[in-house]
Amino acid sequence: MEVSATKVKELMSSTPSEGLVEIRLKDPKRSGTITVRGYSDESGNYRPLVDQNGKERVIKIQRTLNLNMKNVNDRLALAHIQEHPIYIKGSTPILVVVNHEVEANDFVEKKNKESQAMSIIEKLEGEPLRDFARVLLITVNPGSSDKVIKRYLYERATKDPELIINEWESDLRAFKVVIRKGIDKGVFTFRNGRYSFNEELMGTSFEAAVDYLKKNEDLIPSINLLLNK
Amino acid sequence: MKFHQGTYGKETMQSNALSTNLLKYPEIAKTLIRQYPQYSLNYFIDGTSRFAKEELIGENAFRWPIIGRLNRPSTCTGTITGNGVGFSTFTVEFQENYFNPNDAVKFKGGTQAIVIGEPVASSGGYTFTFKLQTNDANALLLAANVAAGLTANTVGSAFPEGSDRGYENHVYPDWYINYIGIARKSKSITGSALTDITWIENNGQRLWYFTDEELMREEFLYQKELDDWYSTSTMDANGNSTVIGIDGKPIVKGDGILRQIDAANIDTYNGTLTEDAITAFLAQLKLNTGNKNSHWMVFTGTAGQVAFHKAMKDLVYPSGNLVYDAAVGQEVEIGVNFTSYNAIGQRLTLVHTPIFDDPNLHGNDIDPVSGYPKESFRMVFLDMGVTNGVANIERKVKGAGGIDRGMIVKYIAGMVNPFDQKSMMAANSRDAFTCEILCESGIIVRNPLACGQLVYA
Repeated sequence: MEVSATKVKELMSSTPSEGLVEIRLKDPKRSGTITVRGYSDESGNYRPLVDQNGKERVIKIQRTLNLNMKNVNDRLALAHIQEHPIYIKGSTPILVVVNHEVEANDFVEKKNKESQAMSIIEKLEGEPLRDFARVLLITVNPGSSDKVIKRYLYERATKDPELIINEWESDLRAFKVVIRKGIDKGVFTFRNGRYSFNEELMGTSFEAAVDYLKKNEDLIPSINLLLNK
Repeated sequence: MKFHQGTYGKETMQSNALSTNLLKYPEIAKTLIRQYPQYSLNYFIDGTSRFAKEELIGENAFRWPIIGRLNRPSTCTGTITGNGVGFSTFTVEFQENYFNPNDAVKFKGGTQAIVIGEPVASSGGYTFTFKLQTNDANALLLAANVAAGLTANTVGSAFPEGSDRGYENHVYPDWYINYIGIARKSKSITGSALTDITWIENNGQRLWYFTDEELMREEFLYQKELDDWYSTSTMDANGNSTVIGIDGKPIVKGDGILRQIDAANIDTYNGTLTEDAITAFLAQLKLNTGNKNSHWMVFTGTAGQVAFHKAMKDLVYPSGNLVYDAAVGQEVEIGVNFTSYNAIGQRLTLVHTPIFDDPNLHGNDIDPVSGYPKESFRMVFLDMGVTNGVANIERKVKGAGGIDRGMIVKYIAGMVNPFDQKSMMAANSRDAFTCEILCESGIIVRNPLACGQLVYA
């Protein structure tokens, strides 16, 4: 079987065009020869394993297979192996794809986000720091120092930097602060899963309460007066 | 073996009850397995004890070593200096520190060189100094033959006269471990069902058991067969169970055959086999094991049998037609059953494995072309041979000092006591007695690399 040059391009379209990828044996001690050839994909369509000339081929894996993404044959091999219904996507995969480029990207992206989240926290002090901690559901006791609160925020930033960034950039942050602070100071009541203000139901979830406040922005000045008492 | 139904009466005594005789003569447990044709694996392991055997162990874990090749290749990093031309020295960096001084090393392309001196640790691994093993001053080592990822291996050693010493390499066996687990089943036989019994006759013995118990026993043995194929270990690398039962106790379970050999030697086919493909796979197994005259038992479902039949038919009758002389007026019976195949000194024998066909288990994944479950195409090549008196595939059963937990069957009397209706003693007040069945065993494949699979993909 031979496929066209267009098909060859299509087959390797899901792979990066640079970097190194390893196909590792999941359990080298128990692995002999794993033969890779054409297979039927999830839709039942036959997917051939071809070389850069479109000619069908077979790959035998006995140890780690190093693939260079600048090499067309290697890209075709990766595209084929990473979708394998038995060796990779089976119930007990026997091969593992280690894409150094993707792993490095993910790592750098995570570290960048961590750094972005850390810089947001670093600048916060006093009441804004406490307000942001409340938004993230960190309990702020009256006697808590800034350092203690910051420490919890930094820990949260290491675990989930995206949450810190999203909450900081959220348009609803000001409303969330008002509600969290209002509950702490008794301006709003939160009982049996219901958020209320002056006996009026704001909602049965935090999001609904935020939505209520957004729709009733005219209440905020009077609420702020109560909060600052 | 014969079966027939009967009624509980004066002939159904404790002395000829199957359960009593199971306790006295444990080999009957194996005889029982033979009565159900769906138990292909258990048939060969427990039923015949011919191709594999059962062995008692006192622990729930079994460890065994396997040693592979006694040497190994070294991997080039691509860092070299010089090329050896004019009998000059050159260096090659390898990831491993495995060569010794005076080793003769063969590179890709066939060039050989002798290691001169000890290696030096370098950024990518270890740098060895070589001189080409040649008498041609123009000979050289091409850089392409020591590119990153290529391997080189020793082909001997070359020492001058009066050398001080030889050098040693160490190879260690790989240790494997598998666990045995407990399987149980029970059935209550009510007072009303008590009178229905089944007689079995085998090897001159006539034994009986309660018919209601039969279904439970049949299901239990079927589950045991499934367990032997499909079980997955619950144990971590430190030998601790990762699954804790509702009573807070760890559940110990070992790997079945398929988990033990899943990466051993595996190839795929799309439902259509050719004699070439079968021979290529046999060649692969031969290449990896180095065995001569191996006999592979190939366990497969109906679809695998059909694919094998077609491959053999195409080999023997490439025209697609069987040629025969039909004598006029005579009844003609045609057709062949291909059950065995020999090539390159290897032999395979096909064994039908009905559990690969089971629609209850594999009904969600059907081959759209043939309508068979994809699992039915699975062909498991097992080396069931015996090397130095040790079977490659063995059932390990918990037991020692006369205790054999391979198949324990007990009756618990309620308002019904199967062997003593007049007894005033009962373990509970139910209008029934309970039959409990337990097995503590596991299966091991000593050398998984001597086995392989052809699977549908």
